[in-house]
Amino acid sequence: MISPSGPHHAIALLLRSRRIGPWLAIALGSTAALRGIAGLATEAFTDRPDVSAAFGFYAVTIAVACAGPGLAGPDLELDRAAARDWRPLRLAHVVLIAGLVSALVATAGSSQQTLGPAAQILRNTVGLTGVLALGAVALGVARCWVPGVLLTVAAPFLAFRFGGDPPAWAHVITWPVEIAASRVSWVMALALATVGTAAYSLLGPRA
Amino acid sequence: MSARVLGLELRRSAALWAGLAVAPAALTVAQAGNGMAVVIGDQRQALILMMPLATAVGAWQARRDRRSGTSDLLGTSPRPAWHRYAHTAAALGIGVVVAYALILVVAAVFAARVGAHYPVDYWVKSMIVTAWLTAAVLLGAAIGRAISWVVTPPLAALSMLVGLTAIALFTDTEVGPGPHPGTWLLPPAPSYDSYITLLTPEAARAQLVWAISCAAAAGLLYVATRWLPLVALGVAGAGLVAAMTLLPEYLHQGVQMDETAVVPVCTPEEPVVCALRVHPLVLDDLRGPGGEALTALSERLPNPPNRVEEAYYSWTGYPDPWMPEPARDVVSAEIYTDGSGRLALTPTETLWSVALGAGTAACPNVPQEMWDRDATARVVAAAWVLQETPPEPDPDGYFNWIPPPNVTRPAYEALLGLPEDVQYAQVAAYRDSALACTGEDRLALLLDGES
Repeated sequence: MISPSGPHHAIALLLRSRRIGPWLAIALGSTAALRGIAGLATEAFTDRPDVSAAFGFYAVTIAVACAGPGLAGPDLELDRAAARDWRPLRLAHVVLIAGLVSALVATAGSSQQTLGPAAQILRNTVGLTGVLALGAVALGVARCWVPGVLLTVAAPFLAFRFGGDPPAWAHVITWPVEIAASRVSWVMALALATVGTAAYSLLGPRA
Repeated sequence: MSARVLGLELRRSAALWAGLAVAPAALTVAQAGNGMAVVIGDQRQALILMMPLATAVGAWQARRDRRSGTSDLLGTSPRPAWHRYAHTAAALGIGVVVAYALILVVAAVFAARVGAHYPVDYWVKSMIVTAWLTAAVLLGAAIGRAISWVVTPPLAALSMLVGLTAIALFTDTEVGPGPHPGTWLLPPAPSYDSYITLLTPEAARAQLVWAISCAAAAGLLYVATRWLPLVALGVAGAGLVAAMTLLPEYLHQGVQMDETAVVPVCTPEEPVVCALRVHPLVLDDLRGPGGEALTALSERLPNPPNRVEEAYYSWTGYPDPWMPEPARDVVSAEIYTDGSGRLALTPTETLWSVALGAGTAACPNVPQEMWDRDATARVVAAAWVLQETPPEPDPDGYFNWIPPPNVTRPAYEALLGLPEDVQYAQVAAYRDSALACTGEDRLALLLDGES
């Protein structure tokens, strides 16, 4: 039996306050929907691996963006008043988002890489989770999805406009749509992940 | 509608952010030198970027009452709810329309500076873009009002992005011939529409009617109470039916050649060099190398050409692509422009491109196994006219297609090894064959005098 004051109860409350349930439901639903669309697309365009990767990128963005509201509890002041070091929990939360989303999307698309290569999914999840965490620190949890959505809207468009030869600065935006072998895209993703995770873990979200 | 409340909404709502969602359209203005058809075409392509952003702003705005905890309070007001929503909808609509209008004004100033060509359907297409932007922001608001979750704005934006991407992807295969006129109803224009084409009046009307009906339906959905959502569906349905009846039977019948865009703009002095009206800045770059190539051609050829004209290609002449008519006295120069409407080739590349094939265009009927020999002949003939060694291929430049020097240079030297009168006769015979596009081995004709 779970005691009201025991650690299990605390974890259940924490997960609830971080809206993990609704987030998982949306992440599962959106990934399944995109897996369906991507399945049709990969059947129709067998010579276009970029198509499945694009839908995988969208699946990652939606799942990561919807984790945003859970980056803070319902009452920030209450959290701050608690005699608890939130930093490890915040770090664990970011790692949980990145781990769950990359596993979910990679698994959903594992048959014939319907949602793109697993390495690309992992890179995009790690980078976009960093962007989300950074957004939570800078803009607050209600708006933390904005930078990630802007990036998702702009990256394919810019990559298309620049074709195969983007200028160096464009990698700052186009990294999520580059192939998994692109070293600069990994540097960007890992840098954003490191900065975002560190800032969120240490500073915490804004209201 | 109260002007005071509308003013308040304009200041306090997300109208400014709705305007910022339109900002990507501003990036296209720098292309005015390529003609305003390119600018508006790129703005239509950018809808795939702007519409999701506008949707997010609309959804964000619609959550305001819930966010500020005033839903219950406002629900007690005797004023009908749609009064309040109508002001917000108007503010959001004004935000996108005014922002886009400002971009059009900036584009007009820029266009005036570079003497850009305005196609006659420019303003209709601008209205179509305006209607789609308004539809997106109001649809976002309708979604945000119906589902006021905290994740609704990103979900709405990304759903719009996924939808537009999927539609663009699945309809891309339908660009070819076939009964797919519905593609004309998508917000981003199909690739049939180019820098030298116009929408037919029927296709333009169909697109405008459909886009406006979508904007009206989205607005109704947002302000709707009780049975009004059904009216919104009716408006969208009526717009769709009206648009479908206006659309042509086949996709390619929705465009026509913009005759004013392909009018040649020529240098007043001899030798005459002409660019198309659609990008007049090209003439500044073509004048020098074009004149130089004409001088070289006149020194080396009997009956030489006396003018260079920019060539253009179009799908409008379906089922066959339109190509320049071969003419003895005109060189059809193949032109590539950069983003600002200037020539994308260097002067040397331009000189060679005009002299290729001794001033003839590439023939479309060369069999694939003969491509390399035909290309070698074109380069060698140009080298002979210009009296220069054939250039090396440049993987990143205009010369990426030419055969390597170990092919072109021995052929060039073989031609130079012939007696001079034979050289002149064989280049002239080569040119006759290239102008007639007869199915011969023109490299053999150039080097051996027979194919």
